[in-house]
Amino acid sequence: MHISDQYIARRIVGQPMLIPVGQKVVEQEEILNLTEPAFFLFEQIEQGRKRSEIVDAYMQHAGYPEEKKKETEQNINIFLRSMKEKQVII
Amino acid sequence: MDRRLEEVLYLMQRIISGKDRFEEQRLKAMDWKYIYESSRKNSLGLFVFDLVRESEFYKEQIEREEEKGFWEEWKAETIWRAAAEYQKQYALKRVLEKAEEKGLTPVVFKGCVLSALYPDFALRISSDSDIYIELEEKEEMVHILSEEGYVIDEEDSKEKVPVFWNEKSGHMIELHTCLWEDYTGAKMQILEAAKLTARDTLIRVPVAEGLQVWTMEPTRHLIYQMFHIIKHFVVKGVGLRYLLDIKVFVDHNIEQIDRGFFWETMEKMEYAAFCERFFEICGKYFQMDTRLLGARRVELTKEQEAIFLTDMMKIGEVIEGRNVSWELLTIMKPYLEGNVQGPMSQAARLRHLFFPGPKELPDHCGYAKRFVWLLPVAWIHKAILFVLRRLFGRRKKMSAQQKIQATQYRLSMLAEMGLLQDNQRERK
Repeated sequence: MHISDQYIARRIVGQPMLIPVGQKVVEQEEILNLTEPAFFLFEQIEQGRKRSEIVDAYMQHAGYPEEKKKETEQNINIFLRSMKEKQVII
Repeated sequence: MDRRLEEVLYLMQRIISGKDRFEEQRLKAMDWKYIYESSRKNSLGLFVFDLVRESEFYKEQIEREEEKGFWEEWKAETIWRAAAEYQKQYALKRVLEKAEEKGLTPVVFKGCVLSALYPDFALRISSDSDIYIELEEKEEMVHILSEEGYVIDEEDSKEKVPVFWNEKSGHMIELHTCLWEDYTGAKMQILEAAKLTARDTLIRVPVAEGLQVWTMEPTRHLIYQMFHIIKHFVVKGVGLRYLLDIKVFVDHNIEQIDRGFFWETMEKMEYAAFCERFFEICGKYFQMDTRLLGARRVELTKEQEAIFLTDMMKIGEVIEGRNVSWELLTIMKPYLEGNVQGPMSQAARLRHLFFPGPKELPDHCGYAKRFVWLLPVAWIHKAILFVLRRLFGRRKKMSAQQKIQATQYRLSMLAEMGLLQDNQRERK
């Protein structure tokens, strides 16, 4: 799993953003604001982490107790699936 | 010095030295509508917003209903323009990688080489990427650009600097086969002799987003940058960001800069006095490493500093809202090229203004550059267009009297900054 070469996730003036950098037509609307959790997940993917490692890293980052692991895993899966559908993640 | 200029300089100092030691009270007293306009005009708007957004002052402002809209618009503009810098960087990356795969050596200068020296490269906005390519590699490079979806922009292209535009990414590339464009004359011969892009002097440097580029070695790059600054200063005016560009470049490369070679070249081009003044201001206001000046320290009066910095902040604008670009170029070009042997009279300047040579014509009269016998037609064309634009045009054009006034002002700036020799000063 990795971020498509058509996109990058970067912080601009403190705001986490998803920026299209590929060869397709660039529209202002395509530059997306990311939430802090989404940006964290993109950072993990960029570092080449596996799905299970991403979940663990997020649990630690958010300071969640072990009993929230299943719910967190489900939420991260939903996020990753939607990013895959949009071809942001491959 | 004008208080608002002092405010802009203060913010520029903070851009370079960091956000700590912010004087919150000072921010409160600033005229922010003016700061926004002037920082934007000087390509510093993104830096200034980034600087202010963490202050208590900003947090208070966005809570105020009457101010919120202004700050939110500035923020949105900053995000959009910084994102565009990322997009340009990746578009450039694709072109350079493809060119290098084909064995070409594209030389990148200014632009991304300088932006990489700032704390956040994406806040230094640029209109295009400058690439130098050897003449024998030009055809292949143009082919690559075409494959990547770039088309030539005939209107903005010069003979030795075709401009390419990619509609999809919005990226523009100026492809130089000569660093001094289509200028000719004594000073260009000195640049030629300095071999700014000699293959064995090029260096490889990392820039933003993991890109590595070929560029000029620091001394030659600095020579080029000072020529470029002087070119704009002579024919139109330069913005304040150039002071920061030179500060970050010199500080980063001070150990590699061959001061002997640099000053020798500047002396030959009669640019040394300008450089001394320029570096002195960079040192005084932005703590640039003044080892570059060595014993060449000059003392500028407060008044001289204010005149120069005000001219920079207004980017040479002498008559508010008037477009001065090529009109001044026509008259001032000989000063840049080193083709003014003696003083140029007002009558001679008027001759240049109304009857420019083929190379001095604006782009819409480009046909007379190729077919010189059409020169009288171009003069009439230019005159008719001028009248029509004065009558119906949306962009304000200068009258002949205003152009002369602007030229006299520009010449006074050249004299102030040491770019006019005694024998070139004004003659009535």
